Amino acid sequence: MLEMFYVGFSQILALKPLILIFLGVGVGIIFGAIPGLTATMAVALFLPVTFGMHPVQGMALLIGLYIGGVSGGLISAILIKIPGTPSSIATTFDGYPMAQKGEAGKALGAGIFYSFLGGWFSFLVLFFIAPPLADIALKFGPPEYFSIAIFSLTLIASLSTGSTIKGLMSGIVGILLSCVGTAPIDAFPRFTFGFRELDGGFNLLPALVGLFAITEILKTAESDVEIKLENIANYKIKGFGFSAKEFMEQMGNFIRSSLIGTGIGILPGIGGGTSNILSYIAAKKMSKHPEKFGTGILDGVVASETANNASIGGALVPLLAMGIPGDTVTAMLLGGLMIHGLSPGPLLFTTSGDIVYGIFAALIVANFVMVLMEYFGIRFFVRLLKIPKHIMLPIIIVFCVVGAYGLNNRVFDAWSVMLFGVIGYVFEKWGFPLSPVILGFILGPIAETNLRRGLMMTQGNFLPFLTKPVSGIFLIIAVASVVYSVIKERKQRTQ
Amino acid sequence: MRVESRKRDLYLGIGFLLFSIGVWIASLSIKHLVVARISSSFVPQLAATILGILSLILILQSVLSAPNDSSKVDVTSEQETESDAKRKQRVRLTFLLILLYLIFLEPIGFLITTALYLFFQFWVLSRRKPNLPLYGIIAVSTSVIIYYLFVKVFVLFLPAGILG
Repeated sequence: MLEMFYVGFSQILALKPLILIFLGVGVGIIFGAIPGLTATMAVALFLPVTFGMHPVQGMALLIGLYIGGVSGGLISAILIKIPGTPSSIATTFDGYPMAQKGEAGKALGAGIFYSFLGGWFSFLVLFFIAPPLADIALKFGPPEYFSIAIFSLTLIASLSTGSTIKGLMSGIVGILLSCVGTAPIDAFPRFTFGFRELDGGFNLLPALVGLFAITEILKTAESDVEIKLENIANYKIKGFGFSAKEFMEQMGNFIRSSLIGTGIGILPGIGGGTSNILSYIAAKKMSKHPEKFGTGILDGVVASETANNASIGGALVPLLAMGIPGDTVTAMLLGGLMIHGLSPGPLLFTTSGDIVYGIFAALIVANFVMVLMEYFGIRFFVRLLKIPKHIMLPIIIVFCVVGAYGLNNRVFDAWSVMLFGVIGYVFEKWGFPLSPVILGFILGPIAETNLRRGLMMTQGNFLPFLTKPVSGIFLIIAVASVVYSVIKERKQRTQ
Repeated sequence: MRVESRKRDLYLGIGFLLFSIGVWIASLSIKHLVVARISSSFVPQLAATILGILSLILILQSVLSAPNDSSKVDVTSEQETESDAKRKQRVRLTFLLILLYLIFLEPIGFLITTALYLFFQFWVLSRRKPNLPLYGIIAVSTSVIIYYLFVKVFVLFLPAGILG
């Protein structure tokens, strides 16, 4: 393993990959800090740029964007009480009150420091879990992969906000959208209605950009409130703002939050957006002084910021070991690997070990870069928060169109961006969550291919999907998660 | 408010039910391999069936949970405030602008279309008094910078249009 790390670092510690990591982390923090722009969008916009690069360099850029994007949210969460990304919602609970008490520097320092530590914790888990898990996954056949895909899909549908039924419907719509184009296995065209352009189906990138970026600009056009940035809290960072004693006091909180963050990250479909809130709630429940939460105490910031970064390493576990993306960003990373002809999954460790360990090395380096940039560049990032949204968003749209067009040099992809944008906008209006759409879009083909392969092997008999232990367990959990969330919803409604 | 969302769910359920039936019908024309037990139309049909069932559940949910005094519906909710109309206007214009941008991107070219799109989009989204000269400068310079950045540095192809 050490040898492989040596190989990994030898690819990353060169001028070009390092520049790309710096660029990635910097842009990522900007996207993270500005409300409405997320890590997913940053990775989506930069994906086309990685086409011409060496795979490890391209991944270094995307990893930088991911880490920067998740941690950048704490800046606006603490200073203007608006979470830059869903990953730092819980940071506002105590971070902003701290800023109001004149402890903004302390909150920022602790946020940055614990983001770093949370990241590290999850990377160690990734380094030690992913390779053996890949070994196990090598023995998986089509039934197992089918069941894991279905499990992931139902989990995201039932855990996403709003009603479970609508979550499931979103997922199905995603699957149906992925059906457009040439079918897997026998390659018959489906739902192309005679349009040649549809033969290849919709690309993932326009789908993501449309669902997340266009939807956002349409929502901004609709909203009446403008973020008032005149009242950015005063801040001054000195050291990391907290003492060694406080560090020791936070140890238990740190470990618990890291575990929650990494665990949530590993579960398919949910990531930092969920883990920061769960970890905050857990910290409050376990605390000796729960009444102080929300008044501006260090514990809250530590819990939230540790957990969201700890989700990064977790989300990469199923991606690298099984080829199943853990959240929307890792779905993009999956796309980033596939454009270089690499298919993530258990074989990746044996066939392209150098790239896997290159990614590991990039994670470690990007995590250090994140601390440096956020710590020393905070003034610059805060200034960027003042750019008005009506200037920022149209420019983002142009980047979206450029990225989608650059994919295949055809306007068709730009049109699909628009189509997915409209779908995203109306779905949001109607209370349908968007993440299941995208996960359905990605997992649909994986589930279908493996279902049909499996049924070919068993001569059309579905029973082995249930009787094989791993496959059966995942299908049972899938059904249970839907039933559980439906029951929970009913209870809430009757209350 | 809640009544309204229930009503909306009812219509959505009906809409999605019709959509799933449409998908079913469209999937009948997918070609079959004679030897294959599971053909390419299997998964779309399965998905459409599940979507249909879920739509029915949504319809049932909204019908069953509807309160008895449904006469109170539509008394206050239909009043549109002025800002509501303005908001809808902004969404419509934004949508139209993006559409025009995509239509003219290839024939006219990236530089001009982008500059024009940005200028008008800034204008549409601005809430206070628009600063048109500033918007113009930002629009043109952004368009030029992005074009050269992507074409020269990242070597992506962008439509040159009439300037090409």
